[in-house]
Amino acid sequence: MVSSLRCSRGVFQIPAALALFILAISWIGAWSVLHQWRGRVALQLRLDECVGKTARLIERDRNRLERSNHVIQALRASILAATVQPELRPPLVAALRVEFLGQELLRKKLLAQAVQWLVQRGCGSRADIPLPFAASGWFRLPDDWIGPRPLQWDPGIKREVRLVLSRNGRVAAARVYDRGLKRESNAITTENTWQSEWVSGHFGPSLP
Amino acid sequence: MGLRSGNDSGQVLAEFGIGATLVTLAIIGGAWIFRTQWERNQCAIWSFESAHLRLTGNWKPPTGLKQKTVQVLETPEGVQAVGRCGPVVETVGLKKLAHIPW
Repeated sequence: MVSSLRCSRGVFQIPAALALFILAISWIGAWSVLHQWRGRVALQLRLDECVGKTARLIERDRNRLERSNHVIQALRASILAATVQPELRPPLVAALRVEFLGQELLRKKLLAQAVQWLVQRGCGSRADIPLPFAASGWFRLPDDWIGPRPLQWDPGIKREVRLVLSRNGRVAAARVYDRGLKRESNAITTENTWQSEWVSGHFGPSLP
Repeated sequence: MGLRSGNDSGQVLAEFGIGATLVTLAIIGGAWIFRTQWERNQCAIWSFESAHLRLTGNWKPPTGLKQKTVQVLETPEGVQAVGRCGPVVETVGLKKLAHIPW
């Protein structure tokens, strides 16, 4: 390069090198901008996946809880009907007790999910910010002479769970809600009453 | 450069001509690749953002350049956004939560 400055040979090398240098810097700059855009999309997809998976898990467990409630109602009705045939009563009472225990385990799991959501900050990424959600609005009245009663929903609590997870201005949100299907009081239904959907949680800056 | 020239100025001229041509071609080629990639990325991101906003119910009709480039369609299973940015066409499909097999 020095010899190029001294003589006329290779005099183009310096401007050419400068041009290539500027080109390389421009490339690196542009690449970093594109990389940043892609990073934000990747972040959004990761947050969505975390929220979506959790919402589907809550949906599944709440539907299981509802179905279990219907089983308990049906068993109680059967026990009531078994007063005319007392020999049928013990197995029905045992089945009711098993169903009740299973339901209680599921309730504990719902509570654990709500705690885990906060403790793990969503799905385990430390910089993510989760909003807390209510574990459930179910309560159970004390046992009567038939046995454990089905769960009831606290009328003061909305039948909906909102999951919100954010990071760096990107937000993922979903809600798990009761579709409000009309239920027969003693019918065992396989239809899911709880459903989940994406909702808006966007309050950060948009991409260019 | 492997060229035989009668004097220094001829050598310089030859070097300049060849060098300038190569550098110009490199810059034009680089700029073309850069522009294509830029448009492709921008188009993909606009499409993604539009689809995502529609899916979360936060969608507003786009204005300006985005209006011309991104078309959002609702499908039974979710949302599809098609971005057209010059020769580049980017399609982004996002599913409704109920249709994702998690």
